[in-house]
Amino acid sequence: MTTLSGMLDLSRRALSAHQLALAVVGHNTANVNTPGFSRQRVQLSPSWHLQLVQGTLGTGVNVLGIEQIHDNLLDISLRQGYSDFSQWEAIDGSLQSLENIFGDVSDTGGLGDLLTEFWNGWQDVANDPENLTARSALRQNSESLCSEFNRLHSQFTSQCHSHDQEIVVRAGEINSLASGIADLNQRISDVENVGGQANDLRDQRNNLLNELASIANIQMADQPNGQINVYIGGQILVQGNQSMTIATQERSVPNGVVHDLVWQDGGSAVVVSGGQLAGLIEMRDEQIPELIERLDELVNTLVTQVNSVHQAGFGLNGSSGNNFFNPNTTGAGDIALSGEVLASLEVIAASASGAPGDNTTALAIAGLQNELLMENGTATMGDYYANLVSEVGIVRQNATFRYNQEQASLEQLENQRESISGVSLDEEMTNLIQYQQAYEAAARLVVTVSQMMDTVINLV
Amino acid sequence: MRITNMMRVTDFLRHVENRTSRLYDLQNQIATGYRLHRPSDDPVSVHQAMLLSEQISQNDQYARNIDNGVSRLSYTENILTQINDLIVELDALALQGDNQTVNEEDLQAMAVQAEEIIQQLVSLSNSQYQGIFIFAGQWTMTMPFEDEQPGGVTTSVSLVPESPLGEIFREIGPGDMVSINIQGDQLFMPDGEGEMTDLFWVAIGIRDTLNNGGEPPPGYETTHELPTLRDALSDIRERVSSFQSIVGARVQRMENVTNQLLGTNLTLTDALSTVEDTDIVEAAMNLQMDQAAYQATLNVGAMIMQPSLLDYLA
Repeated sequence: MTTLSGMLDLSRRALSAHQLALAVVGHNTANVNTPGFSRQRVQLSPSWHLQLVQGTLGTGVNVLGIEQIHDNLLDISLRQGYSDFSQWEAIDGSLQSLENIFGDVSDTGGLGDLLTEFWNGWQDVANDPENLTARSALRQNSESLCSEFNRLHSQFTSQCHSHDQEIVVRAGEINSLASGIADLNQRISDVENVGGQANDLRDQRNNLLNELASIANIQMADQPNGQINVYIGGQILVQGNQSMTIATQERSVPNGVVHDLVWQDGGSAVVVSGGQLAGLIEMRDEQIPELIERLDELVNTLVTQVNSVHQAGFGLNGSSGNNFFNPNTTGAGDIALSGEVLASLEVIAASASGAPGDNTTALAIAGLQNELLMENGTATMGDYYANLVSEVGIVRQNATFRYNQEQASLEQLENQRESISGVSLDEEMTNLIQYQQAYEAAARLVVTVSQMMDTVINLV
Repeated sequence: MRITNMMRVTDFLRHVENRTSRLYDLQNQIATGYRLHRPSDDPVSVHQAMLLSEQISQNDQYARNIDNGVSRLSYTENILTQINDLIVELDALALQGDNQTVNEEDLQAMAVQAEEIIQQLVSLSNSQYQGIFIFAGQWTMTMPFEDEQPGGVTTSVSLVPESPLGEIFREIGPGDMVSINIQGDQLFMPDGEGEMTDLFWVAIGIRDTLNNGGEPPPGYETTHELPTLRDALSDIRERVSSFQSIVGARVQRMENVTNQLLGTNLTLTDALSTVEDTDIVEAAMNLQMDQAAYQATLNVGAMIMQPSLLDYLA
């Protein structure tokens, strides 16, 4: 048997349920631009019913809870997406800087041009072996060539160095993200152990996990208490409310010192196979050192070949056995002219016989331009350098392709996530009107019941 | 599919970004005139462009080598002509001196003329081009011929540096060497000093014979008969002429190669331009198309992003 006070109670619950629903609409609307926010919905359900003689009577609405609209499986794909995207973003960005180091290919004055000018310089000396002017021009050209090699080497090395510094910074970020996740794990389990739903805390934790996934690829394991365990390279990073620390260890490489990532407990290496860190490590440890190595190979061939012909020749002052390039050159980083050539133009050997008008040695050195001295006798030095530059271009092109691909697939995933979890203002406004009208209707019921009560009281 | 506000905004931004980056590329290509800036713009074309420009620069250098060689050879050619003229003059003197009707006084005057010719020959043999002795072989800084001139009379001319003097080459194509000098010893005294092939020795002989009243001086009876000397002189003249034609042929060859190089470089420059230059017409058309697309994107964005349900809620 329903009573007037029972009806008042029903209206009260309807009012508060819709007030709550409107508050959730407000929460969603307020977070329309919050990254990683998952929209929330009030779960309404009919409240208990009364079994009357006439039949079953409902008693209004009940709020079951506030649920988050979220796809956990999509989160896993998204995190993989962040890892892949950041990895290729790092590689593509690094290759872009490398390309910039080579300079604008449409400009003159690149290493290729300087190399050609170097050979031309020897031809000019051959045209005028008695004169110091051509020798002076040659020495100038050669110094420009050496300093361009030096510049390339130092910029490649400094790019390696800046990648290394970034790796160290990112390792620090992993540590602070890991402790943040551990902290949120604790708070989430605190809320959920007492039957609550830690929607917004979960969103926050998701954001941290996404950031972490951008830096390094991670694996996750959900725990029954709402906590999540995080692994990097199979090693545990976050376990419940505890997080491990990643430390750095110095390692000597040909061009300085780099930092490897190790677990502070135990000291074993951190295995990173994805994310920005993987990209940076690949560039720092493989691509850039390989580029430097190839440049060194060119330098060493140039120095050895030119010096060996030069040693056999005679300078204007009759001296012989001199080196043109510094014989202690180890690569692009330290190529320089020999002390003798720097001290005197007359030492430059153009003559094979000792006669001042003989240009045989100069012609022999100039002839090295066309000799297939690189790549097992298949390429000239000019070809080799052109190959090197275009290979960097090809690698960059591939990286840019991968980067764009990963970006597109990440955007796809983000759109999918947005489509499920994102806030649509139109939808929220529709809900607003819907809930507002229901609220008004419930209020109307209160007025009606109140009038009914008046009527009853006036009967007395 | 459920579309949210954030999706619309981020998608719009991405599309605008894509459009502007295409516009930026085109603008860059048109403004600089080059379509290649970074190796990754087109690695194959960048590779091609680098090889082409090396080849062009190398060909320019060959052309410079040729210019340098040709000017020295032309100078040599000029000197050879002068030597030839002097030989003709000397031969005329010898022919005149061989005539029985010439008197002693005339013979003396002819001997003086012959001495002058000898001195001119010596001076020509030490010709310098831009400070370089052109007949000294590789010993370009050494005066190649030295004369003994006691009392103003040339008694002997000898080679200073050791024979052979050596050739000087110019590279006019990859590995293609052309000699640009005539070695003085081969020109003036191919069999050494004091032989019938030695121009100076023969010239001094003619002078001495003229000076001796048309008869060979004592001790030179077999060699210094004027007809014998004239025969020797004629051989020498033939030799000089053959060197003249060698020099002429080399100049001709080098000039031909210059023309080839110019033609090749024209083709190569054309190829380089095709590889690395912006096709302005195409780029301008693309620019216009992309600009229209960009404006359309902005337009659509402005149209669909502005209205929302909020506009219709009073």
